[in-house]
Amino acid sequence: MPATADAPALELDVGRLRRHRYAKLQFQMAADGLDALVLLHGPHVAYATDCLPKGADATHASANRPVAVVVADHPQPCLLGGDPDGLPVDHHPAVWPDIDEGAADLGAQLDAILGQHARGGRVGIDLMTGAMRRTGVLSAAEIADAANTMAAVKLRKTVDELACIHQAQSRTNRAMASVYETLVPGVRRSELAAVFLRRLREEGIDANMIDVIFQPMARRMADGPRTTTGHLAFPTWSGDPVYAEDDLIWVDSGSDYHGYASDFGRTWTVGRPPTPAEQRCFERWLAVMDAAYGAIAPGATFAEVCAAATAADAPYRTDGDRPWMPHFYLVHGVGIESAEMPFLGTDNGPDFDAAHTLEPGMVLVLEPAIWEDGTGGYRAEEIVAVTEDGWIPLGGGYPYDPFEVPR
Amino acid sequence: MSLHLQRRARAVDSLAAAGIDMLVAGRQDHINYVTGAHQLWTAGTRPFGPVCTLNTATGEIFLLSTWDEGVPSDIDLDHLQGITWNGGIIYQRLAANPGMATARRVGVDAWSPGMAGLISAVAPEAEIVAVDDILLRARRTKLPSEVDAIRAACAVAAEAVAAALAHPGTDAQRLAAGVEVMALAGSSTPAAEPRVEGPMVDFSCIRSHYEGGLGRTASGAPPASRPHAALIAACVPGATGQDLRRAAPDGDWLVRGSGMGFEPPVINHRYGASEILEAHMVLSVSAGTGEEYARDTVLVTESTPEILSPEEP
Repeated sequence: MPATADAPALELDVGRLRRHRYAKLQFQMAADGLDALVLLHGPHVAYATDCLPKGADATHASANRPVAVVVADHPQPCLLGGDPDGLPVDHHPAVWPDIDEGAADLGAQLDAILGQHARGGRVGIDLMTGAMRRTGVLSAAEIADAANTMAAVKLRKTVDELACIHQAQSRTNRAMASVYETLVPGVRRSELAAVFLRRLREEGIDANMIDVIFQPMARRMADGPRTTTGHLAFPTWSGDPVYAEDDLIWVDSGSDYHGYASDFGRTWTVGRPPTPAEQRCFERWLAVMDAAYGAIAPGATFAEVCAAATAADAPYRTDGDRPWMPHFYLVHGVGIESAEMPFLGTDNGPDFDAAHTLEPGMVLVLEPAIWEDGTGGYRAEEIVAVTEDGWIPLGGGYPYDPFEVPR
Repeated sequence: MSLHLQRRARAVDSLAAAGIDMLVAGRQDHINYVTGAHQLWTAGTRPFGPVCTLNTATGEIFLLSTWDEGVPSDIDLDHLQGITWNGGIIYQRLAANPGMATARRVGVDAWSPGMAGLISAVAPEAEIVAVDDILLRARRTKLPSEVDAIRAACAVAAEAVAAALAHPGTDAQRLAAGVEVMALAGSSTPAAEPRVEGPMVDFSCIRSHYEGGLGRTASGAPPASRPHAALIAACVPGATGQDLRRAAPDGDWLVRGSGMGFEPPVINHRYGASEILEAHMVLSVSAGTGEEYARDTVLVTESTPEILSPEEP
């Protein structure tokens, strides 16, 4: 059973992580013809400087956000604000790019750091706040979208990035094991969230990146929220439900270790074994996973992985749809974002999936979902990294309890 | 009228007065303000993307959401647009949005080169204007129901502060205890990062869209002699940022708006000297370090300021 195989020994070397990422950034900037990069999005700042994003509300994370500046051919990045302690950066004072006075400060600092590049140079930027637009920040530079540069550098992970994802997932798994023990009839969602958030801290994880999801699933789609797809609604905002013994709960969470995301997904019952029909959904899910695992290899097209997964569930399907939720995908990547490239089986369509291939270093979150209207369904997630000759599991080994893996 | 419709009316009035035909919003706080939708909370900064549009002439809203769970009933299913991974679909939706093609001024709450190109393609005649300041100006003074929501959020944060102060363990253990109690009390989503550093403890949360928070030390309620108290007393209508600096000439402090998260004004020794306080603003007032630290959430009233956070957590 590949998903429960032991993960490889992955040791994080922070110095090597920083060196590799910075070298990739410089290489890609040259390829994209950029004189400088100005980064305001937290995960991008972390990629360039290792100044890690905070698990705060978006308004707080933005208000006095650190800013990273990477100048072509400079030996190390600049960090404006943030905590530079121990980081190999040229540090500059904090700015508040979301308010006009702070944005004006940022503009002045960028002019000083970029020199001639601020006047006619080609500068990649990932975001401008309204205040930066109002105060004319970089108005004399040629502006390019840094999203393209960042997408290129983060697509194939370094060994240390794999180690971070492995740590994020392993620690999240341990926190979730404690939550599962507390799931009994009558417990509230807030009680499960409380255990999870405490246990994350105890596992050395400071940042929970998404409000943890314990969604009780309506057994018939028609009894759940209305959707634009006519299919399932998941993951929704869900208030504070009280769980009953006959509930079926889809669990999802994402936390952050050293700037890299985990993605936990499981289906749980509430203090009872699954019904035979629920167990059958799980076994269909396992078959889909096995088929997808079998198709994952460097050089495989996205379409080949999707086709293998779909074929495995074909005996149960007459309507031509696929064993994952239509608003999502069979596979998404994970890294400095909880969902990033590659995406397999999305609404980008079959031509897109046929035209793209897996490459070593890509990290894949497999999340097929099986649904039998009236019974409910099974959904879980597993993370693997594509290697030179196949794939390895990351953070794996979390059991599928209370479902039984057939021998 | 329900709270979110009152808020939307404020936003529409402000945008229309500035000649904005169409809002393209990507910031969750602005989206929450105008729609009232409860969407899944995620931490951290966001790239800019078109999550919600608002036509200021017709009031028509389109919201990126695959389901109607958490979405107020005035935004019907046919005005929800499902999650997509396809840039072509994003383009088609914006292009099909009534009023977009003829818009003269499109307001955005952030900007990126790629998204600016997309909006220019669907609204070729339009000037793209940053309107985050207009929305935040409309949000600056709070409606009575907003104040109630902030007070309730402060009570949740206060339970976390009390738990962390009472816990005998290490800072990390006290912080974990505070986070756990805050979730039990009603919020599993922080506003700022929680802090437990020796004697000082600070927790804040987002609860039903609104932020509440406070900071205390192990020695209890802050004495009236500290800069914190002087700053609170100075939070009266007409007071300027300069007035606050005179009230607390020394030490580190920050006075900033608090509502649907962190909001302007931002006033400290460096920024905000010319800001002018108004009745019905809600402010987070923090001052001091270590044993001297305190933070409260304060409502500016026509008379003396009202502290919304519990004095004794």
